[in-house]
Amino acid sequence: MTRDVPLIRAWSRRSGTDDNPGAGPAGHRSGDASVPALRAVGLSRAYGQDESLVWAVDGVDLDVPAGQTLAVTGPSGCGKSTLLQLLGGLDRPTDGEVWLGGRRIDRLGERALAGLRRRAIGFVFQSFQLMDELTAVENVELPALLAGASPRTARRRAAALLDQVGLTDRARHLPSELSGGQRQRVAIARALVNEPLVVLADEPTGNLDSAATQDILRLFGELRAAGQTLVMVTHDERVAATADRVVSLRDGMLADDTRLDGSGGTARLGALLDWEG
Amino acid sequence: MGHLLLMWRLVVRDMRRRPGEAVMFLLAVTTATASLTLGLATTDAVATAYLNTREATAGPDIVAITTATDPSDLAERLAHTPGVAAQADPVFSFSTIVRAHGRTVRSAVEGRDSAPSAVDRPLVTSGTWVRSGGVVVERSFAEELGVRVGDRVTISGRGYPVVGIAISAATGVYPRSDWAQGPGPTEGGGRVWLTTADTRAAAGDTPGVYTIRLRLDNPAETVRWRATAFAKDRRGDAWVNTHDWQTILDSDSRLIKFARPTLVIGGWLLAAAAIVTLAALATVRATRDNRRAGLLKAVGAGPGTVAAVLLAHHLLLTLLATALGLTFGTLVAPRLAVPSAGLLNTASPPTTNVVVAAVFLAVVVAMAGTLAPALRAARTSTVQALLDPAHMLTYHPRLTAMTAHLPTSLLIGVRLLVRRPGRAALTSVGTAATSVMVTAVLIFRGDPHYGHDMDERDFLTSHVLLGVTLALVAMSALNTVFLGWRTAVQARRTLTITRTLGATPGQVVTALCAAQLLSAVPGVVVGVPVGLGLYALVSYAMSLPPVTWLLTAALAIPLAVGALTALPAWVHTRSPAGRALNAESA
Amino acid sequence: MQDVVLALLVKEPSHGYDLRRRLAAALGPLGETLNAGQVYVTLTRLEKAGLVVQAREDTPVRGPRRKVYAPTAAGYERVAAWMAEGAGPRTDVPEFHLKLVAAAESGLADPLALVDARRRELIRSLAEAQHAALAHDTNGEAGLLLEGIALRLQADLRWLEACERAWSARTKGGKGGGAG
Repeated sequence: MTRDVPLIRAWSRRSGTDDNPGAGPAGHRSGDASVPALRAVGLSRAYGQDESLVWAVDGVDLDVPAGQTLAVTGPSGCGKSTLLQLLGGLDRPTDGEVWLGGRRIDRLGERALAGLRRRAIGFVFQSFQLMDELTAVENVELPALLAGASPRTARRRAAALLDQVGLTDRARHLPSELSGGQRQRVAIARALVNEPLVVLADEPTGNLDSAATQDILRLFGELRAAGQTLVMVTHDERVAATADRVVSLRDGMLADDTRLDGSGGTARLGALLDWEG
Repeated sequence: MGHLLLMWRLVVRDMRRRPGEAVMFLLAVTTATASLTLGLATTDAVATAYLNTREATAGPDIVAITTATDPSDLAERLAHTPGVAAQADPVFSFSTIVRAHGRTVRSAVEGRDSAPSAVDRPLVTSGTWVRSGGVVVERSFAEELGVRVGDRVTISGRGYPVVGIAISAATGVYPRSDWAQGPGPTEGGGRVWLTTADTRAAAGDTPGVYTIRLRLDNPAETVRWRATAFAKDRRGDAWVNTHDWQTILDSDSRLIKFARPTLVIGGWLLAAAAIVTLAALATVRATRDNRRAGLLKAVGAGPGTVAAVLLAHHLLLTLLATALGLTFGTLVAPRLAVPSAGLLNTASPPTTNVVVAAVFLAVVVAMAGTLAPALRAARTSTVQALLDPAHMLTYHPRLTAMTAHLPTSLLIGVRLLVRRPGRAALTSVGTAATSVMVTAVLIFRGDPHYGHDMDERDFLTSHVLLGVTLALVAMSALNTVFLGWRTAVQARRTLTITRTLGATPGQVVTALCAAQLLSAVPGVVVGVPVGLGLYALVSYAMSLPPVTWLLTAALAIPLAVGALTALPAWVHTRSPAGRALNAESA
Repeated sequence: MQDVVLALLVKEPSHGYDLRRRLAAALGPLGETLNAGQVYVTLTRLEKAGLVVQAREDTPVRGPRRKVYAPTAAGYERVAAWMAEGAGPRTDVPEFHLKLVAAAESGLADPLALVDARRRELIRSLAEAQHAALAHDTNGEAGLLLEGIALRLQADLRWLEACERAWSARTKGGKGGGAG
């Protein structure tokens, strides 16, 4: 990232203590490198029974350090969406463990999981999943209200986030009055409103054109610069290439794990130019 | 605080976005609660009105009527019976024919003077009290005759100007207010007042009666007091008849005796129809609520919060509908309580019992229609809810084989029916409720006495019965159109594919109609006997209506259901097949 | 082409005619342009460079005698180096394809490992292109260049995915697919 002034500065780290109760064990917010933000151990999920039993996720071991941007890629049907749902507590594993900020979550009850989703996890979906009847700012403050923030606090945080995603002038518009890219930016703001430990994005650019995709990727870049842990599932290599790390999933198993250097150099691309020829 | 704001916001936005659904919900629940409230409140309304009137006119606890030419013995004897708080002087009255506006009606003519009596001081509601040569007409009687102050009535051949209209609690209201007829069977009739002198003159040789009205120290003890006063050894030679205030109230209430169960049963039947409406609405909401539930869960709402958000909408509407129904019922009840004109009416706040019953009904209706879908939505896994719900349709190989030989329309119809058995059940319930009421109307109209020889009570029943039935029919019609439209929408893909395979729009419409018609048949089969049974239960005497009537109704109801389905189905099949297929994927 | 021919010889010593047949099979319709002379020229050059030697001479029942070549130690080294070497952001689809074929035939490398390595290489290049594109105004001429590079790298990555599917099916015999 060569942007001089990141739009989103120190997104959430500093304010972790005041109006963000129950976010998990103490210390995780300080970015304690020894405790991965997210950890999967032998994670498996099967569908069907007996002969038609299919392992959508099959023994995945994964550590996501705090502040990392991880892209999960793979062909459709490789189980990457299921993996994301397992990591986010939207689905329960058949086997294995999921740890969020040093706390095991795969055995938690529905209530506890709901609490976790509202405080420690932010979701971004391919189809945005905004409430059609709520305006942009109301959509953003929704998780804050659910988490028990006062209406005033929720509105203040939502407005600030909308400002950060560049949609202040669209705050009072309904989703139907926004473009796809704007909707996804609202959805991202919504995912961030409770200052989550991790943001999980499932094909965040799947429904967007290339210009809107670039916008969202820039936004993710700012999140990354601010130290937000982000796990995104994508089948788009160009999206995956913006992450710190890319893992490929094949038939529910981790096939490859590549760390990328996002320093902004172009040394490799230089090889494309054949000065001798 | 945040949660409440959130719920309120979602509920309000939802209503604003889809006012039609909210209005339908309100209409359904309000109709049911209003009918029930009306049914329960009319009795109370009569009692309250009677007690009000009694209070305002110093109404008697005991009325003693004697044919003795000199009532002083009786008066003295009664005065000496312990427990008498006040006793009015004996009043002379006789029964005669009164004519006004060309109508002749029997009536008691009571001689009264301007000096107020200790017991029974009729309350003049317009004009003045009796004066020489002028008549005061009891209000319910005046209403029946259609006379007002200034009109003329003829009593025993002589005309009198009406100088006043008054109400009294000393007799029943019209037509149970002529108590001057003496021994023997009593005809219905009214009550008018003249001065004592005028009464004597008008009576001439006609035998009259003397009425002594009393108030007791303890109005609840009327039976015991009467037993003391008219003990065997104390009874005189003359004919004496007594009425207590409870009898008067009972006689006033009897007028609405049949209208009341009509309203209460009608209320529950309307509730059944309302449940159908709500369940139909729930099918519309299901997809939306599912998605909403998934979305709320994804942002961290627990199952409880999700259910609360989904139910808040229904609960708010239910509360509103209950309030509307109660208000309507309470305000209209005094008007519907027939003797209204003869009594002092004040719309009184509904009693606890009525409120409890209305709230219970509304909650039952709302919850029956909405609880299950809302809870289902709250419980669905988030992942499933966020995906578009692809309905898992069960395949019925035997049915497919069985229907293979049916004509195309019927075949498609039967298969549609089997795909959505819940919808068929809704149609059946709605049709059953309608059939019950239609049957009741038919029995009532089929009665040989219908049309002539009807008293006030029957007129009221007739109106109430018709009103409730019309409301029910209207609601069922709405339900049928709505359900037909939903069936058409949900079967759009199937039907469109059917059309691309060569079925004509006509066949498709017929298929949809057939599906609804088939589910209406069980409703009629159950509804008609239940209607007969319920009628027999609440009326003392019942004569079966002509069988042809019942058969016609049993045929007409399902046909009407089919016809009502045709409209939305036809609208639906008008668009070209290709467009429907494209719209599906959008 | 020298590397490919050399790698094919690693599997078993072979003569020009057989090499041509194997290349044509791997190249499909593209192999039709390949004539026997080109293979022989390549073999001669390899021999001159000391990478292959003539092992023996086969005498078939019919037709001319055929010289059978085998790689030398230097030839083995050269093939191993070729297998290990990355292609950078530049892509040569036929070359990488033949490398996979040769790797599989010779058993010198796991084609899937080659695919993985290549993917890493490409995604790192793509990461550079993407970061550069995000950091700069993409509307200018530089933006267009970056867009072109990114699109090409993306296309290569997708092709690699297809390679991986095909080769993993060929090596493992396939395993049940997952649901996503």
